[in-house]
Parts: sequence; structure tokens; C-alpha cells
Amino acid sequence: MQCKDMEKFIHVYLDREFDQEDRADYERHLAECEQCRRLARFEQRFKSQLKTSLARPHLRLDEREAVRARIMQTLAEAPPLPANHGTRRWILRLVPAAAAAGVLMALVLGRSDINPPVVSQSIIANSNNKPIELRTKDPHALRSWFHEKLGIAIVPPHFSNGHTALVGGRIGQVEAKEAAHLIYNHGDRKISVMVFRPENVPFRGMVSRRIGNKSVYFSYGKGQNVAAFRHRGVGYTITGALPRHELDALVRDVLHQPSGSTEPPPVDAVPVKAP
Amino acid sequence: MLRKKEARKRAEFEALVMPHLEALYGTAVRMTRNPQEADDLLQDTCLKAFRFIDRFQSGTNFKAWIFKILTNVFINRYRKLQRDREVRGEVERDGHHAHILAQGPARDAQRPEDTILDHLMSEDIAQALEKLPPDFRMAIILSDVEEFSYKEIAEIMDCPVGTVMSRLYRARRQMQRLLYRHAVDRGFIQADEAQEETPGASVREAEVTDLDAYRNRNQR
Repeated sequence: MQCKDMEKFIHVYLDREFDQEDRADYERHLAECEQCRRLARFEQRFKSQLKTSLARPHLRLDEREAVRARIMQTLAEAPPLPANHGTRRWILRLVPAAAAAGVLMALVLGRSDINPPVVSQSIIANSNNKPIELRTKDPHALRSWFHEKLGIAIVPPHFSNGHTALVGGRIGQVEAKEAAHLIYNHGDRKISVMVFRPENVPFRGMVSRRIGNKSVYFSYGKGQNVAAFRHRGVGYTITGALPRHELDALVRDVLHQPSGSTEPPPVDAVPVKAP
Repeated sequence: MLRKKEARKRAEFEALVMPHLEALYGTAVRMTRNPQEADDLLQDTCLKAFRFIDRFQSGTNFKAWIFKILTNVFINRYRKLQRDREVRGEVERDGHHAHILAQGPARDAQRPEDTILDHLMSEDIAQALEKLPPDFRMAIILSDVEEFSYKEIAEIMDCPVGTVMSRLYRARRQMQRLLYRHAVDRGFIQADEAQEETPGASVREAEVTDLDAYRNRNQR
């Protein structure tokens, strides 16, 4: 009976979470009980094996420097702190320490002030089921339609993975301006490509990474990842509930394609999938 | 002037973060299971931490503070994506037929549990960890790799200490169960060797939820 109670606390003992008194008491039992001693020995071995096996990766000096440089680059591009920052701090001084911990995290957690508008708008565009204005798999048809509506030639990107298929387009919004909102099926998910004029659309405060020779900016919200970049004078965001490597592949496809002025791939090269 | 101030703030932040770079990056790799995503997670954590650095009280535990941010960024960013995609095949939760490595002493001198530990490779352990649900994985990393105290883990994971205890208990048990199965599959151990009903087996289904419970154990 006693052993049952003791076994339950074996991790607490091994993790050194007991106070002195409980620890001494526990050790008295171990001294008397071969079975618990043996369990303790096993759990201790298991613990140290975890520590050895899961040890942090060793970063070489150059890798460490590369990680450091990326962090510093991201920080250098970070937007200034929100205007009400000082006020919040002042309020926090009034909150007792214990309660402050929770409040602090609630503040740190809120990320609404971190995403630039273009990202929030892209996430909302992909989450909402606003009606598709022109439903077509034909990139030429969409190009003419956008040209008529927005006065710019937008060629819907073609994706090479074989399961990202154009569904249609609608007029969307980026910052205060109209933008082309292209909708694709990506496997069983929906993704959105926003195409817009990049002037006065900042990507600041996002994590940036080089893809090819371009800076691509990443963020997320509502379970969706967003990539934002400029290419040949046009701004793009690609948004979807996709893991990073899939999103990267889509970005690469767009970067490898000519934009605006040139012809899209022939229609029969576009993977056709029933919407 | 302002630019100088910003640069100084970045340098101060750099000095705080760099000693923990491997710890943060390593944890990010274990949590995202992908070096690219780990890099993003690390970048995003640093970006948030930098923006809110004024809320860090100097003299307090910076490592715990930034790990808390890492945990939250991970949850917000990845959990939803992962929950969508993950098929939780291998790990059943709270199974009644939980056979773990250390259910109790075997009757012979060979000690099957030791046999298993002798044969396990780091790779096996890392793979078993990857199969755990994120909360359990995080608890193991914070406790066994980063050696945070229960109190710190509770702060980082934003839960009571009792929850930390039960997460660790269940996480380690699940790891052992996965590794036990792995050992059987590889033939390191006979399936029935460690599965014998032993006095300890039923007990280990129970959980610890409270540090005071130890002192009160005789009163229940």
C-alpha cells in the first residue's frame, strides 16, 4: 500500500521538487524498499538518457552567426512600438506582481498590432467565403476580367505541384486600394493569392527570409501562414493553412514566372480540378 | 538620436538572447520538427520578445520569460495547423492497457527494462518524443532538457504546477510505452517479459496532481 503512494511521486523526487523534509522521508522509504529503489534507478536512467538523446543541437560558429544575423536583421526591420506602449507599462506598475504575470502574457499574446494591414487583410480574405466574382480555371479569362475592372494586367500564377488549381477571382482590398484576389484549391484547402500595387504597402515587422534573390516576408494568423513579397513591380501575398515548405514552393513558383506583361502558360497546362 | 537609441536597445537585447540561442533553437526544432519552421519560430519569438522587452523586469529570469514567449508563439502559430494535419495514430491517450518499461521488477535477474535502455539509440528517443502531443513534448523538453523547475514550467506553459506534474508523468509514461513497443518490434525484448502484472502496474495509472499530496498521502 505504501509503495503505491511512493511510486506516484517518483518523478517529483527525481526532479528534485521535494522540500528537504519530504525528500528525507522519501529516501528513508527507498532505503528500505528494494522495489521502489529499483524503479527509482530505472527512472533516473531514463531521465538522463532523455537528456543526452534530446540534447540541444550544436551550432557551428558560422551557423550561430547566421542565426544571430537573421535575428538582428528581423529586429532592425521591426516596426516601432505601439503608441500606447507607455500607458500600458504605467498601468502594469499598478497591478500586483502575481496578477501582472497573467495580464502581461495576455498583452504579449495579442498579435493584432504586429501584422501589417496587408497581412491581416489577406488572412481575412482567405478565411471569409466572399463570393467569387468570376469562377474560371482559365487564366486568360481572369486576366482580361481584371484588366477591365482594375486596369492592370494580372496573370494568375501557375503552380507546378499539380494540386494547386485556379478556381476564380474577385476584387479584394489591400490597404485602402483595390487588389486582385485569386482563389485556388490546394488539395482539399483553399488558398488566396492577392496581387496588388506595392507602393505604400509595407511588410515591416514580419520575419523575412531570402528565397532566390528576393526577400520574402512571413507571418501568420487564424491558423494560416502568409508569405508577402514584391516581384517585377507587383506585390503578392499567398495565404493558406499550409506548412512552411509548401508555402515556400508556391512562392518559388511565382518568382520563377514572368509577371504582368507576358503570356500565362497555355490553358491545358493548368492543372484542372473540379472545384 | 532615436536611431541610436534603437540600436542600443537591439544590442542590449542581443546580449540577453545570445546565451540562450542553442536552447531556444533546439526547443524550436523539437517542437516544429522541421529546421526551417524552427528558424521562423525562433525569429518570431525574438521579434516579439524585443518588442515587449520593456515588460521584462531586469533581474528576473530572462530564459523563462523568453521560453514563455516561444511557447505562446508556437501554440498560436502551429497548433492549429498541426491539429489539422496530424493523425494521432501511434499514441493512444490514457489507454487501459498501458504497458510501460518499468512496471516493476521482473522475476529474473536480467531486468528487461535495463535491457531496453541499453539498446535504445538517441534517434529512437527523439522519434518517440516527436510522436507525443505538443503539450507533453514541451513538458519533457522544459524539464528534462532545459531543467526548468516545475514552478518555472507552470509559468512558461501558463498552467498550475499540478498540471505540470501530471503532464510530465503522462508524457514520460507515453514515451516509455512507445519505446517499449519499439524494443519489442526490434526484438530487444520479449513481448511478455515486461508485461507481467506486477504490484506497481495499476498504481502507475494514477496521477500526481499536487505537491501537498505527498504529505497528505496517509490521510486519504
